[in-house]
Amino acid sequence: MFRAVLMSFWRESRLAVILLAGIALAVPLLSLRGTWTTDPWTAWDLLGAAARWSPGYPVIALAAAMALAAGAWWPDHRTKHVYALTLPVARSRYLWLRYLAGLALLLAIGASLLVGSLIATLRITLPPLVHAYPVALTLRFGLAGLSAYTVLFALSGLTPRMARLIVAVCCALVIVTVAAELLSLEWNPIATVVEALLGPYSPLSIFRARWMLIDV
Amino acid sequence: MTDAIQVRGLSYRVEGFALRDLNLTVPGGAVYGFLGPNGAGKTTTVRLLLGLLRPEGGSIRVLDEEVPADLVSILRRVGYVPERPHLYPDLTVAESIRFHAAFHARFDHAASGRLAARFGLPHDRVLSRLSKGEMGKLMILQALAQRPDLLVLDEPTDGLDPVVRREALSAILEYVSETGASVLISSHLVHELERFCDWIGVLDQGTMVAELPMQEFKSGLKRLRVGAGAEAASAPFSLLAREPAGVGGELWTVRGWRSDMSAWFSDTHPLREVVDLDLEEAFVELLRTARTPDGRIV
Amino acid sequence: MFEHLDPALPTPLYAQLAERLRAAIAAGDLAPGELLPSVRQLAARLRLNPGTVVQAYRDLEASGLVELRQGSGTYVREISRARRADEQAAASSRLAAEMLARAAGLGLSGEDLLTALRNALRETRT
Repeated sequence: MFRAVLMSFWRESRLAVILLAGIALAVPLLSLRGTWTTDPWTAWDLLGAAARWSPGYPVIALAAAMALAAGAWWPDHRTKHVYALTLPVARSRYLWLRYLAGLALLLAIGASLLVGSLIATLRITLPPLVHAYPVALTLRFGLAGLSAYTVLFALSGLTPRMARLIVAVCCALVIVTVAAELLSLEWNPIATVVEALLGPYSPLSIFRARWMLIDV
Repeated sequence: MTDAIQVRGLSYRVEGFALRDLNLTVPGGAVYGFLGPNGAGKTTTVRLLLGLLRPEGGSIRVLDEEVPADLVSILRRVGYVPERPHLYPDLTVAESIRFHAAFHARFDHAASGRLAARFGLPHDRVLSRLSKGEMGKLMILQALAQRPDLLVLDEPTDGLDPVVRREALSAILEYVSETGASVLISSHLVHELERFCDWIGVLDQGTMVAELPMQEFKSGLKRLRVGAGAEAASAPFSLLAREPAGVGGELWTVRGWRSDMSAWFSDTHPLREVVDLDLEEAFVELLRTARTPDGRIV
Repeated sequence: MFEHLDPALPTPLYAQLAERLRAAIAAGDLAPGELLPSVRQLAARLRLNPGTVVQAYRDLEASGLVELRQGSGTYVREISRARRADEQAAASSRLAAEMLARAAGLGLSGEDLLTALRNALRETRT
């Protein structure tokens, strides 16, 4: 069954996955483009190049998560879930199969990133005190992608009733924050929630970090 | 043989529409025609049978198992063709069949190949680009290749041209001949069902108006041309409607007619003719008489 | 042979089917020893309930016109010329009764029908 689900997922998200895998392969290579012609580079130049391109990686991770979460649900949303609900498979099991299929494709994009960063960094001779982190970068990508994909997968799969509930909660938060502001109360529920989501103890905090292919 | 479908006291309510205390039985091995005008609640009933909707009350047993408790086990043995296409639109025909096969242990690839060839389905075309007829045939192919014990078909030939309709019905009846599977087929195309259904259930405005063997339904409903002066009070049949017809005569629509009942008439209350109603006419009469003058069901 | 089986008629479908087969056998269109289509084939071809075909075949078997050989199929039996003539006479009677009933419904007498039939026969001969 998993193969069939993976096949249908691939059919759905083929273009996005190939595009993102291509980008993931290209970005590390492009970031160290200068080293193709002049080698070795100075530590300073290497760090600068890495820093300039570092915002790209979390963006790719987020894009991949979004594309895969959408691809996981799009065919079902379009057909009102009738097919999935009439297949002889428990709903939870089907969801799990779809989730894992998306994860497999995410891994494929991560693998592409690993290949690109390995090629980019293994070719050059690193000056002392500076190290390349292709594996760490890929792991970070994987973790970020996993977290974002999981959250987005869950959100995409919401029934209209659940979606309405969540929108209602968000509106309530906004209203309360504005009211607190107007009443000059020292309370900001939205900030608290955002801090919880992206703060140091949340898996999504990874998106705020710096993603350096080459670092000290 | 146990009943293929057994519904007791089913009730369901949604804005503007309600199913009230519905009883429905599809005997094992029967081809059951589920008739009713548009909006009667046929599709809703079918969805309830398959666990797509949750009823407010009543019990549903399909293939001797409970809905929704044993739903996965039931769905293994039920082939479903819904009113509107439900397959994943971005897969090709071949991929859709492969996908379906992966979830059904009994899937018969040889049969699927034969049907695909017979139906002339283009293997590499994406589902979203299939014509209505091709999509209809694909859904039926998948439901049949699955080798189900029960076929639930919700207006499977709706909007299809006559050639495709014949091909589809042929394939379905061939399958039934081979396997003795039960069929619930809902439609408002009465003429189509008349040929091969052995049971008929009529739904109108959420209420089951009639459910009986096809032959009984057709043979019992008649129009009688009677002479003036015929009095209906003590009739052995039930008089559904009467209207004046021609010179000094009336046209009676009756239910429960048997040929020996012509003896009840006499010279003073003459019976001039017994007219058979075809299924479509019988169906229309049944609905007409089941409703109150302003169109509601009693 | 199997066109225009009409479910709207009062005659049940199995009887209509059996009728056609009887006529074909009596006329020799279906030869003795010939294999009839299987229930499955005929049900699919004519879009009938398989039970209808089974009933028609049983009807013919009961009348001694066909025999069911287990595992093989349904075969037309050898029938005597006298029997053939009987079958054709019976078919004609049935057709005649049907026509008279319909004529009555249209307000025509049996005599009118007979005259019209004679004329029609004369036409086909010329």
